[in-house]
Amino acid sequence: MSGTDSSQGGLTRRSFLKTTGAIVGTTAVAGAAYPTLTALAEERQTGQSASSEERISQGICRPNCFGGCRLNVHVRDGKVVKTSMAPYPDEKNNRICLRGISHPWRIYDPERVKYPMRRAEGTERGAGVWERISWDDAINEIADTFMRVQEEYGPQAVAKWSVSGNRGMIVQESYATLFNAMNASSIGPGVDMANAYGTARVTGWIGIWSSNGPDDLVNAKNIFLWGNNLTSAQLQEWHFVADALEAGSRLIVIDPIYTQIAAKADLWVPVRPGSDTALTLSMMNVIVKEDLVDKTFLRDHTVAPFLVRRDTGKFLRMSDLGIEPTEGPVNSATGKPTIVDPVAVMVDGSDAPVPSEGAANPVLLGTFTIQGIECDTAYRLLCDEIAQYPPETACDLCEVPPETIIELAHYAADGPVTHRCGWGSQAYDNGVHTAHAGATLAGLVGQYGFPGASYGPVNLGVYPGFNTKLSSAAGASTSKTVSIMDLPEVLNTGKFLGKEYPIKAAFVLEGNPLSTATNTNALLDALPNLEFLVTADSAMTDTARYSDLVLPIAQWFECEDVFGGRQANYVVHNPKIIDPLYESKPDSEIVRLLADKMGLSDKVFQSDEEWMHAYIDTPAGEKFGITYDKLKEAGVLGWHSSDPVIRWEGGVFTTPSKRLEFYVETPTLAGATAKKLDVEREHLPRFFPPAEAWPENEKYSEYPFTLLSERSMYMVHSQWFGTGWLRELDPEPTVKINPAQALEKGIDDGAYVECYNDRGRCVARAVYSEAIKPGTLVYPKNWQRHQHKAGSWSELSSSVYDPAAVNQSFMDVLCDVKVWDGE
Amino acid sequence: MATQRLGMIVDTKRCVGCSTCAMMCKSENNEPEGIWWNRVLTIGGEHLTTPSGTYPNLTMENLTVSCQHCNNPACVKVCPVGATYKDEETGVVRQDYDKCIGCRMCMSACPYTGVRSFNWEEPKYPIGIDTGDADVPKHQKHVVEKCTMCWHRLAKGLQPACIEVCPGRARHFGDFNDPDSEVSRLIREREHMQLLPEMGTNPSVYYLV
Amino acid sequence: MSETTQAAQAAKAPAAKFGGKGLNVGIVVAAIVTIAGLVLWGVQLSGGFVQTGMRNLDSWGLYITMFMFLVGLSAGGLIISSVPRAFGMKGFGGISKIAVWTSICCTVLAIGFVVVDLGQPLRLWELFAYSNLGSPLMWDIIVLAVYLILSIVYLWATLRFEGGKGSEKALRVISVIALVTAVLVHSVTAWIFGLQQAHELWHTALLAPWFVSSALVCGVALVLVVIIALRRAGYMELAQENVVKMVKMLGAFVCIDLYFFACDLLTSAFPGGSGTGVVNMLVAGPLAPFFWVEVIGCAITAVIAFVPKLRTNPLIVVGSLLAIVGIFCKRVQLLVGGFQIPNIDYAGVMTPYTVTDATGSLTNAYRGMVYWPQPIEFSIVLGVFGLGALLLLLGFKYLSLRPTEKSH
Repeated sequence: MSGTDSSQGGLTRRSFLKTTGAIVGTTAVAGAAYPTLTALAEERQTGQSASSEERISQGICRPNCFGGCRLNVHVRDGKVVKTSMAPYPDEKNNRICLRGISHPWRIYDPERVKYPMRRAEGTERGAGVWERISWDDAINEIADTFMRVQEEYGPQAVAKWSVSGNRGMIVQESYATLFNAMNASSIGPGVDMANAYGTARVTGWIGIWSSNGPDDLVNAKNIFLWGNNLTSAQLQEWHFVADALEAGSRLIVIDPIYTQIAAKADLWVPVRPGSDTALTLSMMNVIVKEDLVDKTFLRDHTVAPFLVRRDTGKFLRMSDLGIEPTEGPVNSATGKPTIVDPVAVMVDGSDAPVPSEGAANPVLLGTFTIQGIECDTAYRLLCDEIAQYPPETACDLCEVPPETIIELAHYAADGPVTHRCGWGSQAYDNGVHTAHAGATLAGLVGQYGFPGASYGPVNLGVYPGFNTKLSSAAGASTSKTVSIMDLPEVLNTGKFLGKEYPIKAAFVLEGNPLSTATNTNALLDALPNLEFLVTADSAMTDTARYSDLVLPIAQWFECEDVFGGRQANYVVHNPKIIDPLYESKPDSEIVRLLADKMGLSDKVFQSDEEWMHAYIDTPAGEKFGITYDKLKEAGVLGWHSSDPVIRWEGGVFTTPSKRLEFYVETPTLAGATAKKLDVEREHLPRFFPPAEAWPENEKYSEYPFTLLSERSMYMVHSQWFGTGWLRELDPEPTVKINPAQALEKGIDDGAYVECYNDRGRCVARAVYSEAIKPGTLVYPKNWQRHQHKAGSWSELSSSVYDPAAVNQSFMDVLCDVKVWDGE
Repeated sequence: MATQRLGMIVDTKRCVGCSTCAMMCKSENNEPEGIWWNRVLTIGGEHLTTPSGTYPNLTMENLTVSCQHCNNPACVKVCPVGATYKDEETGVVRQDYDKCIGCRMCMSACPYTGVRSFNWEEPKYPIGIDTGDADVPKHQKHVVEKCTMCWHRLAKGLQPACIEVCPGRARHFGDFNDPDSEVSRLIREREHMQLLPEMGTNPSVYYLV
Repeated sequence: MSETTQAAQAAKAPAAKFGGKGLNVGIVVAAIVTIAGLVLWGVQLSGGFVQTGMRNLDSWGLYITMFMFLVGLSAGGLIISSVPRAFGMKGFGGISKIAVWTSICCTVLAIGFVVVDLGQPLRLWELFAYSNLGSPLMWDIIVLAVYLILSIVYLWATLRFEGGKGSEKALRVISVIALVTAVLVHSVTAWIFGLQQAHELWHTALLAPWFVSSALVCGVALVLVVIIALRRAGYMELAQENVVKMVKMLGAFVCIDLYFFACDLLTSAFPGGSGTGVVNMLVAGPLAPFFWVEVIGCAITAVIAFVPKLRTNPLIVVGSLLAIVGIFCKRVQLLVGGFQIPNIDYAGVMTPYTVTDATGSLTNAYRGMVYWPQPIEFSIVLGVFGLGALLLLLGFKYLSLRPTEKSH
């Protein structure tokens, strides 16, 4: 305790001295502590040994946390008594965390959903009055309702509503198969995609969230973490960062919050929330001004020399200059030859543009009029953009001193540099540009394609050998994916994209959208338009509590599944280890029961084993030596060498030009959305203020706090919310506030406070923390509504989104805070 | 016979205060509700994971604290019935639940605030099962307990459960009396501290700083 | 003090009828309180110590405070009664039997408080089976047992001597041994605390002599209150000069006690290091009310003792009670103060077992007194006092404790 106002002032210093005063030099201790005893070192090993009456099987922990920890599941008397760390074939991937250890509590949670339950007749949704029903009744009711609704309103009227609660493949794929066969709609989760799209439109798509492997961090001289509280949210990566620090890497953390990892950093840069793009553009400004750019990389591996037409914003192609395109190699996907129409560049000492490929020494910075077409090089356009952000200007936006911006620019140019953009900086309306700018910054100084050089959120190892077409083969879906931000309007108006689109029934699986998604009150206002809401879960989540019917699903060790890897390039098998508790059933069985009832049983696999073979035994899998039988036997099989993954080796990207496209020729929507894309704005990385959380917003005078969320170590999204062991460490919802501001507001440490805005409110216990930037409030996410004294956090956040990402702006939220009046 | 001095090292530079070691300890040893033999402490503000200082000039460190298995344990001396004692062969400070009379003399004598806990009521297990290792002794009401250095695991040739689970790979275990052990090497090579050295207890838990 | 209240109630009966109905009523009331205490002790054991205010960071409470306090009362009483005999001095008017009986009762109470503080009282036998002779608690148990036996022997020998049996020399030998044991018993009790390096407030060489001086203060004060009450009740006669002699002694002991306190505070505060925290906690922190009651109360006692005009019976009783309350406050300061300054005070997990008030941060828990007793503790304390009162009254009823001409 800091105890400045404690009655025994000065105590802390005393204790601190007492504990740290003991730092002893090496020689002193070596002398004192070693009687020369030898030969008694009975080495004790790591690992687990089963005591008698105990059986140990290996499973996988599979929430959407990127961990993918293999677990030993210890079973005694038919009960899971312990989950411990099961090793990966290579030690560096060994991992577990406090949540993975808490599974016994989760499994035997007294509050677990035990039986199928129906909302009691005559009670409101969410009233909490339930009647226990049989599985037969439950399945009949769901199947009948779905069929009736589809009959009445069209196939799209039933929606599959999933998020990311279970990364077991059979769960996702079974439901996908069924709902595709039904031609049902999907509710798109719209989560955390801005950094994925922002990066991918520059580097090309190579699966969601890519970067060099975590084991490559040690090769970086400078490591930037942007809005990334890796020590909580990606704990499994921390030891790689720690190794890098021990090896001498410099760690730079850019975050408004003083996180655990900020405390470990060589440099912590407190930035104004939502302004990372301005900071990045300003760093580029410094880099260009000081000529720290990597010109060779720009010329050979980026679109910098590409000529961009002023009239269309498109690249100037040789066909624009009258040179007919040629046919290239046959595209395996379409079966047709590719069209080769090179982009034009200018080269020094020549007036005539030439095709970009093979052009020696193309001009980087220039403006030309070619055959009457005004063109700029892409680099010229970029430079014009970043010229607007000299450090002195950017300082006003991002609240980082100019000298710090210059220092950061120097570090960013001093390779090898690895940038890890987290999910904090992208949780604003302008999040795509944050990643777009970051990916551009790394390219400007050539930090791609070799050890230690990388830009990206994380390397999410997604196994490429699964047969992902299985579920889509079940039926050609004409129904659409409606993002959760659009859902309230679609429900209220019955229209989507200008057409009739009623959605009348939904099935929630592996998710808890009424807790994890933004703007819950808008959803709750619209949900009465939904005639029927089913939730399959093992816990009484906010969403389950609001449903008409709740199905108890088997916990992860109560059914077989397969896992495609998460930050470790392994496929992991999870056998059924214990029987499902109470009346719970595996999701795949629920799918089969429903399919059977709806006359779709020929569309789904009749057993898990059958599905496993079809999903795993693929030609691609064969190449990795991975088959279902082998996997079942081994438990875990790798599909990548143990060397670090290096992305974009040799500076070859997966964009259409194979170059780093910091100028996006054809910006696209990120999904079906009623919103229009401002194409002009999307070509280049640009800073524009967050939609809401910015002083220019007129609401700012009324709601002066930016409400930030954090992923705590004590939950994964909303999972583990009721796990007693974790709740002992973290008993109730809290909101962290800067003590000086709390005092101004008359808020005592530990007082219940109400955070509120026009959309809703939430009551939580105030925690004084100096880690919090004045003007912001920080709350650990996803406590359930019943755990709050009143309201919930997701009531406050908005539905605004940028169509370039179709991403929920979790942190683009303004609010005010006051002492709770108990109402 | 030559004796061991088994102990632990926690690398504070790698500790991020995630409580994974504490949770493993809790599960492995079937610790009842409200009991934590191993705890993460934040050297910083008044709450876990809050810093000291004034924004943005801040510092924050973590300390995981459990029984220090002192070479010169204060608790052992004061126990009137010898229920807490030092195992001569390993140097582990042990606690015999069956013998403990519940006088809490050891809790008061231990300088390391909070590492010993008393079962103030019948141990509570809301999930209705005993977790962890089968060989962990049953917890008893009204006796004092603490970190056993996973005695049941040591007996099987295994390290304490908290060591290998550390996500930061910050924890090490070994024999400080063996100059070739990893722990001996680490304290030869790295700057380190013991908690409250002025107490003269000479803990077998070292912290790398 | 319940036993004095009980005694006072009993004493309201006219002198001739002392030992009559009033005393019997007192005995019955004390017995009922004792039984209620026993029942509550059962409740504490079955429902758990969680019902008390004690927790992991403040693992001792009112029971151990009372233990310290009563050992002091007891030792003080015995010292007062045995010193004149041991040194062959003129006594205090034959009050020694009452003083010894009072101190026997206090010893029983002290032991009672240790027992109710034990989590596993059924394992008490282990103290004899597995004695760790290195433990100060073990020393204390041995010394307390010896002391209790010696006190009883001393009382028995006194009664025998007064009954014309036994030699004065033998009595004198016993009184010397009893005196040494009385001094020892309180020193050893001090060592339970004073030998713990873990608590800065306790870890001082001064603690043992200081405990002895405190014992003398409250022991003498208690004897004074009891004999004045008994004289008033007509149980015994006592010349005022003996009272005055004892009051002067009380004054001297109070001064010595305060002097020790001053020495300790100065030694703590002077270096300006961590000890300053200790002094601040006592003088201006959560324990300040107890500190000031003690200091001011004892100062008033000293004034009453040394200003002849003020040595009236009511003021003597007031002064004595102030001294007793003061020493009780001293005990509270010592016990709670020992836990009030944790060695490791960093923020960590807080469970209902961590500290008495586990609802907020640790800092918050230490902002006020880290420990305070719960109703069950007060009730059990009352029950234990009930037992003391019962013993005391039974002694008055069945033992001939009235002064005789052979008494000291």
